[in-house]
Amino acid sequence: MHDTEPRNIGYGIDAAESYQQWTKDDATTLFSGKKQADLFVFAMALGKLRQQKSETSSKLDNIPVSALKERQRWAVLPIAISEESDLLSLKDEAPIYRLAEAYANEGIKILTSHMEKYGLSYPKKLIIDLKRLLNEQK
Amino acid sequence: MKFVISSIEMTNYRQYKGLQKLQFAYDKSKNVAIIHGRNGSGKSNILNAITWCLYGKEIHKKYDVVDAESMPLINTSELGTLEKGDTTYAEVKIHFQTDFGPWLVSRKMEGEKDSLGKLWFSKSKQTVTRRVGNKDRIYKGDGTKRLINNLLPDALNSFFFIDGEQLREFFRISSPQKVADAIDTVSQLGLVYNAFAHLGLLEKDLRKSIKATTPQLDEVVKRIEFVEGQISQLRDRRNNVKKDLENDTEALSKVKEYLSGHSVEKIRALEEKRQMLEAEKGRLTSSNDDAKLMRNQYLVDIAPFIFLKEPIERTYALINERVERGELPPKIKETFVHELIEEGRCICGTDLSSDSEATSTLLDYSKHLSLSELSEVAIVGKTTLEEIQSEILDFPERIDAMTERIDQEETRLEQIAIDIEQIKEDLRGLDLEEINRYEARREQLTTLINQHELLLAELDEQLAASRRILLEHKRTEHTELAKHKKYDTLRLKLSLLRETQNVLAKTQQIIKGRIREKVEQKTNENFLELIRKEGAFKKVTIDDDYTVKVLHSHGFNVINDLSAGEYMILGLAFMSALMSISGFHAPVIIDTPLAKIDDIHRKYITTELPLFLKGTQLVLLVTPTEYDKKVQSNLSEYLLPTNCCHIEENETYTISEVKCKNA
Repeated sequence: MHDTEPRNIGYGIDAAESYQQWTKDDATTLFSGKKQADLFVFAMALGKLRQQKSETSSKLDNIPVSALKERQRWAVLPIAISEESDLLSLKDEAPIYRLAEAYANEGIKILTSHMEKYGLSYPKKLIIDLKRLLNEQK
Repeated sequence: MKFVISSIEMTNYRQYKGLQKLQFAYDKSKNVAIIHGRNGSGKSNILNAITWCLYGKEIHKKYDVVDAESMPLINTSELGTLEKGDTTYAEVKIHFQTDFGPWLVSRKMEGEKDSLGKLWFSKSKQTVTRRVGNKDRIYKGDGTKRLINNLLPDALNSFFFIDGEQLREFFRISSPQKVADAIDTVSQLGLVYNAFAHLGLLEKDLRKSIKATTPQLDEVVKRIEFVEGQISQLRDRRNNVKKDLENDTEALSKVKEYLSGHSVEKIRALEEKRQMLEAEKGRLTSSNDDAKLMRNQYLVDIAPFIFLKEPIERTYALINERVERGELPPKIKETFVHELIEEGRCICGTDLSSDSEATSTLLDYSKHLSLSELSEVAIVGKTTLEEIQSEILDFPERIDAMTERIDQEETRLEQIAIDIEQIKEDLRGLDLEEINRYEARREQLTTLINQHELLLAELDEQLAASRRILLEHKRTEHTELAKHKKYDTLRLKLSLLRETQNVLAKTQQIIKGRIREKVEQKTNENFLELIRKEGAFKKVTIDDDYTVKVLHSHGFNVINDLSAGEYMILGLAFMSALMSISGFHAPVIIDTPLAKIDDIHRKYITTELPLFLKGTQLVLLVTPTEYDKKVQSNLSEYLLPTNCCHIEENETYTISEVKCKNA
């Protein structure tokens, strides 16, 4: 169905440790036991929310796009569709995923600073943020 | 080979002075024999006599029984009568009836008082006599061990010769490791383990023949050696920590038992309350961890959609707009129109040459079909985005419910911590030195157990990391060896060794997995057959990590909440499963099977167990309290009147005698 999507997506070498350590089963982070693909989508969404993106240098293509669930693909695709205001962006998904990588590249930095600041309380802080966002967007 | 015990003769063994004989007749339907005597009269020493005779060790002793510091195995009254230069002995003889005729196994230890009055004991010697053809053949020395292993291997004896107290405690304080060890024992993987160890040595020998041709090869061989040494050290350390953990867990359980069985009611009540609180704390902590994990996973899934709520809504609106305009799903696909133009003729027969009016109309129309190739993606997207938007709407309610559960559990955990502290305070307030000592020990053991558990997890991680490094080094070694033709054969040999080790590891895993499944199935069947409240329990499971769970009919795991009787039945169910899977048909001898067990479970054990072990000789060593009128009546159906022995003590309780009805 998604014929034009790339095979893999990735993150910069600077973020590799976060992607690998935070998702370990015995990690004490919010992402413990989750996949790197889940962390990527989270970081990308956070980057997009803050409208911050940057090119990834020394990229490691460690996440197969096939590891994304259909609903996660529909977190990635609306970024480009809404920016272009055109469904035809779907004709070539490869640039959409490059855009997603750019947002994830900044998103992971924002996430790192949040995790460092709030530590084990980060889930509580996240819940407050999410509720506030929903209220603001009503 | 199936066998039963026909008689046991003990001479000067422990408190049995002179010759004492127990005889058992065997009948398939009347398979029970009873030996009753007061606590301390020597019941357990009958079980000890059996294991000493067969394996040279007593069931309650961890050390060698010849240990000069411990109570002598030869009757002390007998030793007291010795003059300087005199000798005496202790001997246990067991007559077995096997499928292949009678066997006699005996073990003897000699003692001597030397000219200075010091006692000396010889190493015990075993003799096996069995009928071969019409003649008795006698075996002495090292060969007897092999013969005894044909009857029942030492490693399996604890599944047949059972200490009731230990069996009751098995699942109350059992670690998954004990269950894993028991399953490992019945798996009889000794041959596989030996082969594995042998291949390891062979690999080391082969590596010695590598001459440092290149610095890289030299380096990697050294590294392999280093990491292997590291793994071996880590493994030893892990085993020691595991043993410490088991010992401390057992010691803590005894401290708890002492306090909860204390003669002062207040101490008893406080300890019982504390144990209930600790059990609740354990359950709640685990439930709270699960709840937090679920909440976190939910947050990771839902947060991106909330962050992207606006782009998602805009995308949905764009798709919806096209749907409302009738462009999605399209009636005709853009590619179809182009194919017609390329063919130059419509399916209705109209000419579609490049300059025709119809072609120009079609080309104009095809511009409106630009989305047609994306219709499937867009339609799936529409449905997915609708689901996502609905989930976003559900978020506040769902996360509040999750948070409420976590908060409630945490509040309760805080209260439990306060209540436990208060109990400690109350016990300290009694100002009893003995209790303060036990409390300090309890505290110390709890801290030690936590430390052991943390250290074990850390060592496991280090071991896994070292194994990964070793694998990496071996790969490098393989690459380096491939650069030198002279190592071609060696490289092939090392590869073959590694492959064989992999096959063995896999075989071992498969066998263990299958045996675990069998034990689980049998334990479950046995438990549900023996348990009184059959309807109250759904299933007994043994997980991949050997954690045993008893699932209540409502699905809760109640392994920490069973009564003494239920623990005993679970232990019996597990042991019976191991017995049947081991493939050996030996008598089952249980010391104090009914102590601390309520009337209802006593009834179940005494009426169901003999039936359950039908065809197996079952010898029960019981106290007069255990062997009450009800138990006597329950067992009468399975007990030949002659199979009942009584242990009598002398007035000073130093010498015991066995009186059997059939003597």
